[in-house]
Formats: sequence, C-alpha cells, structure tokens
Amino acid sequence: MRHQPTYILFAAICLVAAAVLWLSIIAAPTEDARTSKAWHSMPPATLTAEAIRPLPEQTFQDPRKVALGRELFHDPRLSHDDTLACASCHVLAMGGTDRVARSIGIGGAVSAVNAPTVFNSGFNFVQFWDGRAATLEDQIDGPIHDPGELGSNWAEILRKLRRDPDYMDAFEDIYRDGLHRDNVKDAIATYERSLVTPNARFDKFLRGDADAIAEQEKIGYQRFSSLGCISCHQGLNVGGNMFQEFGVMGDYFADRGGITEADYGRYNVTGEDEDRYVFKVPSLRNVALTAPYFHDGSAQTLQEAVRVMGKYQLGRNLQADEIASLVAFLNTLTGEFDGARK
Amino acid sequence: MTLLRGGYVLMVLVAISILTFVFIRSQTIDPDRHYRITDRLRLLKQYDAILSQDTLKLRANLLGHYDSLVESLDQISGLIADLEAGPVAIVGKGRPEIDRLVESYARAHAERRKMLERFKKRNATLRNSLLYFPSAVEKFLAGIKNQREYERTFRSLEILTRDVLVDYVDKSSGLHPRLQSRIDMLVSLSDRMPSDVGEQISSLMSHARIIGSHKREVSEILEVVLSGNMSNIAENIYNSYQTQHVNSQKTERIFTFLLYMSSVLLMACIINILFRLAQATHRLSQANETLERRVEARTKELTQEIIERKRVEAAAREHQEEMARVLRINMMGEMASALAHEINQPLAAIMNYARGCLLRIRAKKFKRDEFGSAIEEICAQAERASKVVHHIREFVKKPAFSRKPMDLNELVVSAAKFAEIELRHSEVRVEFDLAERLPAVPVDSIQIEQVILNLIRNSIDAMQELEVTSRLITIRTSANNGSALDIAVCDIGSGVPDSIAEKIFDPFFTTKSQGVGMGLAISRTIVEAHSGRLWNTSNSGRGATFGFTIPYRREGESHVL
Repeated sequence: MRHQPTYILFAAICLVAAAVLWLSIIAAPTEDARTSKAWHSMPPATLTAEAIRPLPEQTFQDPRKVALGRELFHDPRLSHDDTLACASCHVLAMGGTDRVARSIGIGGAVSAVNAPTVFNSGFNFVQFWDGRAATLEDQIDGPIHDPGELGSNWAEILRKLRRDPDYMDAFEDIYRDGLHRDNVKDAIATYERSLVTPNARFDKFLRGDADAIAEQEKIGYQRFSSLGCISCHQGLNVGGNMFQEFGVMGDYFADRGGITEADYGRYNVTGEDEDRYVFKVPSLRNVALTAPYFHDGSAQTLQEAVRVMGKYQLGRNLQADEIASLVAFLNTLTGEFDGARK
Repeated sequence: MTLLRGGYVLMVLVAISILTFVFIRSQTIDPDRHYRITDRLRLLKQYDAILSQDTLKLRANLLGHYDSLVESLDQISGLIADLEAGPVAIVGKGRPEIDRLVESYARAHAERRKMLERFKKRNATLRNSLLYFPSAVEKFLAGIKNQREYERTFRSLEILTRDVLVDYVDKSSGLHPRLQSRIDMLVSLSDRMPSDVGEQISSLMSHARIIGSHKREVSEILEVVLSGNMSNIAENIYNSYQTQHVNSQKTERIFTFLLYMSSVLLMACIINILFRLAQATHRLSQANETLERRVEARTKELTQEIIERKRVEAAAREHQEEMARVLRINMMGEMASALAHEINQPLAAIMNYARGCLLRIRAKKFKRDEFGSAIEEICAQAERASKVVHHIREFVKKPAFSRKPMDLNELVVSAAKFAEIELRHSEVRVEFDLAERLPAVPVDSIQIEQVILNLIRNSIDAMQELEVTSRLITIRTSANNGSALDIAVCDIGSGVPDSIAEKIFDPFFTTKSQGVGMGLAISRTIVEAHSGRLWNTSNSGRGATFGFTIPYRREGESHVL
C-alpha cells in the first residue's frame, strides 16, 4: 500500500511519454520519394531567331552511371543468344549506326526499320521513327524485346547480369536498390545522354567563327533555309523535335512501292488516319556518317536523300548545284565525340 | 481499487484519443509539401505563359525552331504528372475541386499537345510553300510570258497568285471561298497543256492549296492555343489552391487552439491527480501514526491487564497451594498413627539394639565386634526414621512455586512409598503398570505426589469391606496420544454409586466418617492448575478407576499461554 502513489505516478508518466512519442511519430512528415524531373531548376528556353542552335559543349551526367552504362551498352548478354549488344547496331565508330538499310538481329532476323544513330538521341523529343517512346529509358524496352533485334526479356537479362559480381558491385555502389530493371535502364539512358557530338564546324560558325565553314557550305546553309528544309530540320538537333508526313508534296510510298506496316509510321501508335506515313523528323547532326537514309534505308547517299526530300517534302526538283551545296552544308554538321570526328 | 484503476486507464485512453484527433487536425498543412505545390502551380502558370509567348512568336515567324515549345510542353506534362500523383496538402472539400481542375487542365493540355504537333507539321509545310510559291510562280510566268497560247493561263495565274497571297495576309478579304474553285479550274486547264507546263502548274497549285488550307488550320490552332483558356485554368488552380490553403490554415488555427486548451486541461488533470496523490500519501502517513499510537496505548493496557491477571493468578495459586498444604497437613494428621508406627518401628529397633548393648556392657561379657554391628543397625534404623520425618516435613512445608521436569513414574513410586505403612496396615497389595520412557513433564512434584497419594488412600478406603487377600490397587501410567500423560489408580472396591457420581469432586462432599471432603476437590484444582483433567470411570468388573491426564508440550512446540 505504501508504494502505490509512486507506482501510479510512474505509470502516468510512462503513458504520457508513450502518447507524446506516438504523436511525434504519426506527425512526422512522410518523405515524398518520387523523383521528379529536374524541371524546377531549369531556366526557361532561351529565345533566338536563329533556327538552328549549337549543341552544348558538354553535358553533365554522373560519370559512374556513364561508365556502367557504357559496359551495358556493349554487353551482348542483353541479347537472347549472347551475340548482340546495343553497340552492335549503334556502332560509335560509325556515327552511332550500322550503315545498313535494316539491322540484322539475333539469328539473322532483319529489323523493320533503319537503325537511327544513338548520338545526340537525348535531344530528340521522342524516340523511334514513330515516336512511340517518350524517353530513352522507355526506348530500351523496344530493341530488348523485338525478336528481330535483341529478342530477350528483362527476367532473362537480369538473371544473366546478376551472375556477374562486377555488375552486382557496380550497381550496389551507385543505386540504393542494386541491380534492377529500372536501374539498368537508367544507366544505359544516362550513357546515351552522354553521347553528344559538339563542336561541329557549323556550331562553331553559329558561335561566331565565320571562317569555320567554307563559302560553298555557307551557300548550302543559305539554301537550306530558303528552300524550306529548315522548317522541319531546326533546333538544337537540326530536327528531332517534331513529326512530319513523309510525302507532303508527293506520294513517296506509291512511287517507291511495297508498302510495309512500318511505313504507316505514327499511325501504328495513334491509330489516327491523320498520322498515316507520319514520322519523327530525324536529326541531321552527323548525317554524313549515317547512310543509308530514311526509315526504310532506301537512300544510299546524301545526294539521293536530299533529292528525295526536295521532291516529296518541298515539292520541287532540286538542281544538281543545289544538292551539292546542301550536301556540303550537311557535312558541316558532323561533330566530335571523345575529341575526334568519326 | 481495481475498478478505480480501470477508470483511470479509460480516462487516460479517452484523453489520448481526443488529443490525437485534435493534434492530427491541427497538423493538416505540411509546409514542405505546401511550398512544393505552390512552386509547381507557379511554374505551371509560368510555362503556360512561355508556351503562349512561343506560340505567338512562331505565328509571327520570330522563332525559327520548336525546341522551346517542346520543352515547355514537356515541363507542363511533368508538372501535371506531379500534381496528379502527389497528394495536395489540403484536407477537406477543397481537394476534389482542385483535383477536378488539374484533371481538366491535363485533358486540355493533352489536346493542346496534339494540336501543336499538327501545328508544327502544317506550319513547316506552309512556310515551305510560302517561300517557294511566289518565286516559283514568278519564274514560271517569266518562262511563258511571251507565248500567246498561255496568255489566259498567264493572266489567271497572276491574279490567283495575288489573291492567294492577299487571302494569306488578310483572312477577312472574302477571297477564300472562290479560291478553291479557281485552283481546281487551273488544274483542269493544265491537264490539256503540254506535260511539262501542266506538271509545273499542278505543282504550283498544290502549293497554293496548301497556303490556303494550312493557313486556316494553323490560324485556328493558334487561336485555340492562345485563347487563354489554359492560362485561365492554371490561374484557377493556383487561386483555388491558395483559397483552400487559407481555409485550412484557419481550421488548423482553431484546432491548434483546441490542442493548446486540451493540453492545459490535461496538465491540470495531471497536477490534480498528483496533488491528490500527495494528499492521500499524507493522510495515510497520519493514519499510520495514529494507529501506531493506539497500538502502543493498547499494548500498555494489555500489559497492565496481563500483570494484573498474573497477580490474581498468583494469588489464586498461592491460595490453592495454601489449601493443598493445609490438606496435606490434614492428611498427615489422618495418617498420623500410621506414620507414628513407621517412626516407632525403627525407634523400637534402636531401643532393642541399644538395650542389648547396654546389657552386655553391664554383664561385662561382650565381644567388641558385636557392638559394631549393633551400632551400625542403630544408625541404619535412625536414618530410616529420619527419612520418614524428612519426608513428612517436606510434604507439609510451605512450598515455593516451582515446576521442574519430573519423571511421573518416580512420583508414583514415591507416593506409594508414603502410603506404604497404610497399605501394609490395611493389607492392600499394590501393582505397578508403568509405561517406559515417559517424557519428563514440568510439574510441581509435591502437589502431584499429593494427588497420587490422595487417590491411593481413597482406593484403600474403598476396599475396607473386601477380603484381606483380594485387596489390590493397580497404578498405571501411560502416554496419551503423545501429547499427554495418564496416571490412573485402579481398585476393585465398592466403586462410585451413580447417585453421588456428580458430587464426588465437590468440596466438603465425603463418604468417609472422618474425612473433611476436600481431597478430590483440591486434587482437581491441582490437576487443572497443570492444565490437566481429573477423571474417574467405573471398572468393568468391580471398583473404580480414578486418574488424571496432564498434557505436555512436545519438543519444539511453541508455548501457549
């Protein structure tokens, strides 16, 4: 009986303390774990009357992710039979493409469209010829699963990659949750974003070096503008920021013949008639290195590509000197990668 | 007490629940989230404005690329995704309204995106045709200027070109409805012309068509995009969020006040409880003190009472002892002749030996050795007499109160010895049936001896009528249940008639002509003073058994008062 007051007092203090603790726990703000785009730190786009803008001289990507992405990009374990890597069709030494009309996938399968260059792909507003992927991360799913390309799936790839202790360590170092699909995608996409080719001669010209391009090339640029090419091929990537119908001023596909499903372009994504034969306007950067041209790889040379564009997109027959100067101009769009022109 | 404690626990739980509710309601606004949302809403307005600006510039051909347009659209999409995914920091009825606004903005944004994609396509083609068409027409006209067969075509193409451009510049010119049919007419004319000229005309007309139709489409798109509808929604979202935020702040303030009030109340309750606990503790200690004082006083009283009782008991015992002694003296008186005989016998023997010695001395014929044995005999007889006297003296002297552990068998034998003369005189045989290894019991040996002697003498008296040869007393001692001792004196005398059975222990009741009637009464008093019991039974054959039981404390047992 004598000890009871102390006992009750102690119990009361314990209860109050527990209540306070509980309240402080439920009141603790929960961390919003979602990572948003870094939109809040980006300044509004600069306004300029110039239609073509020079590429930034460098991009700032996490070097560890870039290194890991480079490994993955060149790793044949991303294909079903361990024969092909991303780099098999996007050869960095060949302008980020494979210089064939349509790439050869695993087991000799032929893919549906021409492989676009991986260089500067981070500046494209959507990915694929038909723009079905909004980001580079989403784009990776395409070639991974396409039976005509890598023909694999994530479960298989992760199984293979997890057997490699070097990968396990590298992922553990960089990512909190280690080797996972989204982190593989992130590493590859980060690497791809680092594949930028600055310092093209034309970029130097845009930056004020009037002697960076020759007289004929200047004439070519002038024609590029006055003929209307620049209506679609503009911006940072000289294209890659809009869709356009292939054959605005003439029926390209009727003239070519042999229409495939891939020729429907964006229609395959939206299902709207308006989008039939509509493709992403490709970037013209490094275009001199990425023959053959168009989604079907039908133009073997730049001259041929320019001629086709003039006929079907501009509705005019370009003269030989026009084509020559335009090609000369297009050659000035070849940039540097790893400090060298490829 | 348990009920009281249960009530306390319930009260504490209720208090905690109320506090928790109030606390949660007073913490509805997460400042971090609020700033993030405000930031996003502000950026939404900002990018919306930039988008409108860029669109205006594009219409005025002040912007040569779509990069900033694409970027603004992407930013807005990201902002919408954020707003739709993350919970808005508002609890209450404002939330659905904001969600609805965001949703409608998202729908309008998707539509706008689609329209701007179409705008980019159409605008590119339009600009191309606008660049090309006038110069191409000029070049074409220059080529056919002096050819008479194309004079009508030349003129109508010249006018058409002018009208197409006027229509392009001035939508309200009213030329558009007729332009289409004039273009169609020129195309049909071109079919009849030589192929190179005809092809050129139809190519020019496709550009003219594009200028006419795309211009309208592009204008319509821009009108919709620039209508301000989206900006209004963005503004509305921002404003209603702010309104709701202010409202929740008001609510929050009310609940914060309530939280403060309930905290104060809770504190008051706790202080009250603590105060009452302190009071209770104080009262308890006071009560303890009082109790202790009362216990002390009562102990004192009880001690006093015990002393008093002991004094009374001592007086009673003294009285009883005195009575017993008187009775013993009386008994000695009754036994006087027998005792006298007992003393007389050795005295007679002494006298004989002494006379014999004297005769021999006078006759002067004696041997030295004969005197020795005679004097030894005299000494032995004198000692015997002295023992008897000593025994009597011991028996009747006023004893000091003393209880020593005694072997009851010894007391039985001693008492029997005392009665020996009377027994011999009355020719009564005594048989002992003594239990072995009886424990020593603390008793007043003289008093217990008195009781046994009294019982023996009663038995002797009871057997006066019997034949001399059959007079027999059996004295038996036995352990009773291990906690008491029985001493029984059994005779085969007249027994106790039923008529007097109830009165035999009463004082002054006697059947003897010379007795005072105090023997059994005092015996009972003595036995009861030893916590024992005096009893009698009738024998199965004849005679009676008188005995008493004295309880004793076993080894290790506590002393009971």
